[in-house]
Amino acid sequence: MRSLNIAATGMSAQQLNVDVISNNIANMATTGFKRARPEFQDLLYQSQRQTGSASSESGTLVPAGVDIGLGVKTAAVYRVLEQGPLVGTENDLDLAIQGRGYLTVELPTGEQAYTRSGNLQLSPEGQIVTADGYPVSPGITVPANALEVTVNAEGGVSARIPGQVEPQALGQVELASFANEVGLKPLGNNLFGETAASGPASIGTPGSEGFGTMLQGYLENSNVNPVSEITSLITAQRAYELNSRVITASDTMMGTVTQLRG
Amino acid sequence: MDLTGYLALGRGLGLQRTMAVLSNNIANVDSTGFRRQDLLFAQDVERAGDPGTVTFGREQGTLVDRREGSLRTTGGMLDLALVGQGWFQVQTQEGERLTRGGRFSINDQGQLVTPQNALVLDQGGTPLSVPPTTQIISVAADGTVSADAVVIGRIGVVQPSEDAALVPEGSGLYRPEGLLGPASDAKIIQSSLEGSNVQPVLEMTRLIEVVRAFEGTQKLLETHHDLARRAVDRILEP
Repeated sequence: MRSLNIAATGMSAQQLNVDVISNNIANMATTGFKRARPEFQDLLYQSQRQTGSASSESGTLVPAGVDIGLGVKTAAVYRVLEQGPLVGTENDLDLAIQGRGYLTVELPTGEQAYTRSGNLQLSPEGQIVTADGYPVSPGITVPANALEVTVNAEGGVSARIPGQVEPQALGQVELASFANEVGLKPLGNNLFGETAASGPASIGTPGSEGFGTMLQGYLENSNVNPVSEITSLITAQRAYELNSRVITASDTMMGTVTQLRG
Repeated sequence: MDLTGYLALGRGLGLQRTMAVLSNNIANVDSTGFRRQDLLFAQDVERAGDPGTVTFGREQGTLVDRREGSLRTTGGMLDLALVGQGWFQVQTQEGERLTRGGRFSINDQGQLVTPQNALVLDQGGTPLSVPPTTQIISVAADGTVSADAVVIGRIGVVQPSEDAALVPEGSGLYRPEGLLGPASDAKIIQSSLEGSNVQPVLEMTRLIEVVRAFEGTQKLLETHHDLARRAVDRILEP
């Protein structure tokens, strides 16, 4: 009975669907989180009767073959890159990116990771770091006596130093963008890694062509919409039940066969 | 020849295949752009001995239901749904294929691709590419693609002729057996995806029918067997 295995692929697909939905809901309040969606597609087909094969010696062809599908597969789990809502925090080092781009983060391993979560902090040495303490590149150090740090829309960082009239320029925040953003690999902790699918990072200043602008004192919230997640959850649960009904029906058919008297 | 036994066996096997097709439909209740399928049966006269009196049921072909699925809004910039009769044309390793699943993305070379990395073709049949610095891509109802308000091409939407067969190949791709023409009444809707056109209620009803019909064929086999045994018993009676 092929239908048993086919229904099993349907059930495991819906199980994955629920896993993805629950991760979205769990990250409803995660800064810079992008909701994910699984993409399902039909699996291979088994040809019982080939389309276009000869149906007689005089050259007539079979117009439509018998192709039996073998179930469903998960083609991908996508991140939906819609901009999340911006929330004001009035914190100098909270940076939201409006539009395309990622902040580049130096991992302790020396590799680079990318993030849209702009809740930045200062390290003991005054360097601008992420919430995990990883430095944001290019490295910007804020003097210990700085009164106020300002980041403009183009990413220029300056600080007001006591006794100085003009604010002192400290450096420039840069953004990384990718040809295929969806191809970035999630590393957890709001970080993403470059892959062959994403293409190499192209670095630019905020506000230039192809890059978003910086907004100081705001954070980009998660783009998860609870209402749509709950509706997806209900659909997933029903689809799971449907597939389990197919298994019961296939089982009934097999039961009929075994009850045949010899 | 023990015709009744073979007839019941043939019907039973046919019903098992119908069941496989039904369960494939139900498994794909959530697959983007999936088209439900039906098994078509035909009478097979030749192999049933005396022509015209008894006929075997035989699978004639898989029928792809071209009805439209429901739309859902996803918010994705490159999620495109088709409304009306028509298909996206994509370039795979094996050749050009049709799909209704519009979950596209941009690959590392800036080309518009499906999840299987099949290139999405424009009206002229060449792959569409997007400039790397593009921030916002908008797609108009007629398929015109603009990257940051600059028109870069038009997505090709085609329609196979009414009698052309569609052969499902998996991954939401279909191979047309026949001529393709431009789709006149198809519209593209951005940030939405077309779901599968499987209607759970219909499939469940069919499922019950198939299970009952299968029980029927088994009952037939049983009755047939009983009759044969009774005949033997009576012959052997002293």
